[in-house]
Amino acid sequence: MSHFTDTYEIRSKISERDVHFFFFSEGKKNIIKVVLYYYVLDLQEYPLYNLALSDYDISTNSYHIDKTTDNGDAYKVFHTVLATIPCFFSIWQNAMLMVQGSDSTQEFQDNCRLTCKKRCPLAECRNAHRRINIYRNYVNKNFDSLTKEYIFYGGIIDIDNQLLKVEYNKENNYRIVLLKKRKFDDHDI
Amino acid sequence: MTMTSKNNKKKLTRQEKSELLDMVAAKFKKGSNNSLLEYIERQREAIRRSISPTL
Repeated sequence: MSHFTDTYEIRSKISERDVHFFFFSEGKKNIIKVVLYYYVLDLQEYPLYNLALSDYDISTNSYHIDKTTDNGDAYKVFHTVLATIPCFFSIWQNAMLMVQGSDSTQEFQDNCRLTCKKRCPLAECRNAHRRINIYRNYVNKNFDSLTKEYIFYGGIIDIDNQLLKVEYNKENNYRIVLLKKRKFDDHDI
Repeated sequence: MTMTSKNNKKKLTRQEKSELLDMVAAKFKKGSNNSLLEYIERQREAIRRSISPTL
């Protein structure tokens, strides 16, 4: 994830246990982006972090988490976010990172139905899960090389609404992907 | 330095971008971005509630 050449220059900031990366998205507009790695809790032997992306509007000093900005540089932004992952693990080598899309929440789907012109069935919003699908497609496409450095897991929400971690299977459409840095003595899972 | 907003497509120099990123990072350190911190705290709690003890 550190091999991309079409990325924006990043600036890192460690704030207590959280790590943030800042960069300029230079597309149709100039937008300051913040990649947030925030600590959630300790799970067994590793700290669990969640990944989020936010726009920062300097004129109002406000943040817009996981906003779709259509700035015309989606791949460069995506590659820049991916390029921060090795940086994050260089700081928190023992961390478990959780990646999920804000468009995978029920709240997103409920809000989408208010204005969307697509006539999706109630159980399926066609605008949902796009973000995690982009990450998952990247992982699936580069799985063999990525697994030399990282161990991936699928995140499944069970009937009690609890998150379970399972061995990553490229055939499954996970809504949550977890990963950790592979250690020298790690085996497959 | 003229600051940019997201509606301003002024081409920034490398130096201007560097200064702006420094300023954003400094603000972050001072905790002046309460809305973001509140969002993070809400998300953090939501994830904590959803975590299975066996994860």
